[in-house]
Amino acid sequence: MIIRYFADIRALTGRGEETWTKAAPDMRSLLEGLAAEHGSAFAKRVFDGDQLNSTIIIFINGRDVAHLKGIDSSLGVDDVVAIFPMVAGG
Amino acid sequence: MPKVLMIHPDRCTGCQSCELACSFSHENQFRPSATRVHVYSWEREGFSVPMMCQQCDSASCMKVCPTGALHRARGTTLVEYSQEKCIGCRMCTIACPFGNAVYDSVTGSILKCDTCGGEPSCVQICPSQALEFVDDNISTRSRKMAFAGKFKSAFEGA
Amino acid sequence: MNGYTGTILRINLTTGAVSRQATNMKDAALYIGARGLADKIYIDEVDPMIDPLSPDNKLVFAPGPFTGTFAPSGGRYHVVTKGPLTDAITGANSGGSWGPELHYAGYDALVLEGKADEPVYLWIKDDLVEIRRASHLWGKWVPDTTDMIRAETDVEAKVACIGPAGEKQVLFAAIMNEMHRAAGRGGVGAVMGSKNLKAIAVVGTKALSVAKPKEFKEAVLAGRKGIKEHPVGGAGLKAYGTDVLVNILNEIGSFPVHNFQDGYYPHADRVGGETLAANQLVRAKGCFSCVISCGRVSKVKNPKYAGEGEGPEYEAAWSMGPDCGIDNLDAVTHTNHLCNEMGMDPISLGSTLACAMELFEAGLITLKDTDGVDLRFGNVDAMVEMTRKTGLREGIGNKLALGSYRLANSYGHAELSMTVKKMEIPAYDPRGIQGIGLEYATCTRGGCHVKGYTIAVEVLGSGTKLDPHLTKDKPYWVKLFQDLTAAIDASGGCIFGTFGMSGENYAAMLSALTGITYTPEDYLKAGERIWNLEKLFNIRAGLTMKDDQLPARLTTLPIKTGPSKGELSHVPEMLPEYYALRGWDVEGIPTRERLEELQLV
Repeated sequence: MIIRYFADIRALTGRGEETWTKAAPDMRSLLEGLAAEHGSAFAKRVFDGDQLNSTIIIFINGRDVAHLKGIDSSLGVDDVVAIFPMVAGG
Repeated sequence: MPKVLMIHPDRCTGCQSCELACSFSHENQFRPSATRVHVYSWEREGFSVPMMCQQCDSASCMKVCPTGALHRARGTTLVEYSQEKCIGCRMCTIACPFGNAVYDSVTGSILKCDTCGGEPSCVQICPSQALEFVDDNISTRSRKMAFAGKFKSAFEGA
Repeated sequence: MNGYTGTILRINLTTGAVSRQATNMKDAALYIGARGLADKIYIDEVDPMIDPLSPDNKLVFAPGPFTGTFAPSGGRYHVVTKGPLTDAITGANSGGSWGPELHYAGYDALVLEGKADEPVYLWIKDDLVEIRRASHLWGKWVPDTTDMIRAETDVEAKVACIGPAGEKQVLFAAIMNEMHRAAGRGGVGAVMGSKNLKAIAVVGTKALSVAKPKEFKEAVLAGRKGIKEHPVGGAGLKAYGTDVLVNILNEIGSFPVHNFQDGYYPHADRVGGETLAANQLVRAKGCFSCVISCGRVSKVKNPKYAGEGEGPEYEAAWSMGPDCGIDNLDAVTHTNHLCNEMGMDPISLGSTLACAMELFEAGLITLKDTDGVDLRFGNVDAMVEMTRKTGLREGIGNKLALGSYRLANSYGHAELSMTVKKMEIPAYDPRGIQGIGLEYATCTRGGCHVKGYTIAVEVLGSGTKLDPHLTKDKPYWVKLFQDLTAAIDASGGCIFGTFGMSGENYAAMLSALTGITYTPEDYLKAGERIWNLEKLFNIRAGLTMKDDQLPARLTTLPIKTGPSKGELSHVPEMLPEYYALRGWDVEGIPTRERLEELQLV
């Protein structure tokens, strides 16, 4: 599984991308694993209690988890996950 | 502990919100020529600096004022302006080495920062913390600390 | 009079006549100001069939009621004309601080007509209006023009000007103010150049009054707080600028590449906002009265592309970057600086170059045509050189200056131009994002994203999250964004204020400022009115529903790689519902019923 980080999330993980080999059948378990690895600042950014923080956007293979099953979206070992803070442009 | 208006030009984005808040809080309208804080911008370099009365300890404007319209209450930092005593001679505008005293022909008065009675509007509206109203002795502490940190980095790297 | 000065300034450049008229306050209530008021003035006075580059065209500059107050991000002005790129009604919006200055000088609008017989600039200081010689400035680029004019007028004058691109009537030339802000699209700069008008310098010292100061201040502070607390308005845009979008669009596979031949670019990160923040960003910059500070003061140290200026925004990083197969951010930043300095729209410039690259790789444009420049995708030197040549209309730049539609058409392949109504579509692939495609197709000024920015809900999830791949409800959302944006444009506000403020905030501020009561519904209705006014002009200018469509590539050639592989745009399926929601007939003509409801007949 490839995990990509963008904008200020990169500062929280110290990298733009990593390969994740630990088991993660769904987004919740993946985020819990990543939070254990990258610390409480990262955890606070992606979680709001036990729900997904509303200021975070997460894609699985380019699909926003909001249009899948949110934090319960299932994951496959070859998936690409992208984690963004809410951003904007023109 | 007396407070001073501290400027951080490196944080200024040039938005001029301070000018607008200053004008509005004094006149309930927006008149850019009548602000007591003025932002200067250099477009090529993208640098902006807000400027206002420095409330000098040894204020040149007070020294030349013939009527005491510009005066300071004992023990305070603010150089106060009493329009009723002002004769409009403009000596203060000549004396101020920073050009921070300005004569406004519309109101027939001198415009200089009055710190809005202790709660400066410019500080409240600035979106970038480029203006702060802080205790006199800590006003430059953050800058000093930042540079002290550079020594720390330099020695750590050695 | 609150929020308005009550005076419109008119200058006839042919005769030199300067006159003033009272602002029509009935129109002000219906159309608000800026885009709306300028549209009303322009559309009432100009024959839709005129040649945009002839002296018969008019150029209207207008601030809005917010412009010059501390309404958050409320310092904008709008320029309205018939655009030479599209032959349609064209409005371009700009920030900086020029708009407020015109308002302080005492004017709700500046209407220019005719053509000066030699280069001139306007010097406006409150009631003083002078038409001055500008022959010594003709040929100067935007930064030098600005400094030279300030030396002759006032060191703090706000200067809106054209560079060589506008002078030479590049069809996508821009009008620049404060050196780096742009009324960018559709060729408004070319219209200014066709009038021999080099610049407008303004100093304003008058006051703008407020109907209900206490309520206005409360509404403004609530608005500023809302923006500050919004993740985008409050922090994201200041840290990374709009260029942060590169990675997000690429991750969903709707990042157009190689003239929309594909929608995914493996090395997109190299031109993204994170990279910009690390390598070229000097500091954030804010327009007048703005808490967001999305502007990028940028500097390139690489000697080959050295320079300082502002940008690039997302659109520019895309158009001169991966759309041309390029991912060198130093070079892209440099060409963005060039676009600002020469006064050109980087979206149309980059997309025209991408089209030229496709024509070159197809063997239609030859090395002879390019004077030996190998104009293929990925050639950074070629992209930089052609940017300069286009702005100066040298060599093949003379053809590139006409935009991609006329360029591709001249080689018999108009279908390779990624345009709607001959204006280049921006950096969101409509095959992967359905709603923005409908905006491109229906925007009154041509292929534009910003006047109906559904990306906010289709990709960024600001407020509501819509699936970008679905067409369901998109016509509703496109109309909503188009109407709200028109109202915000007309108020003098920047649409980035919507990251933290709602229609309720805007209506409250406008009501307290002007003393005219607007409910949020009234506010949106004013936007809808403005949209329909523009549509009516376009119909009279000869545009039909045939012009409300995307290039065939986007409805027939699926995205090749990446997360949106296989997708196509479904604009034709959405158009009937869009027309119906707008109260237009099946051919997109506004019905009498809707026009009466909008007080347009």
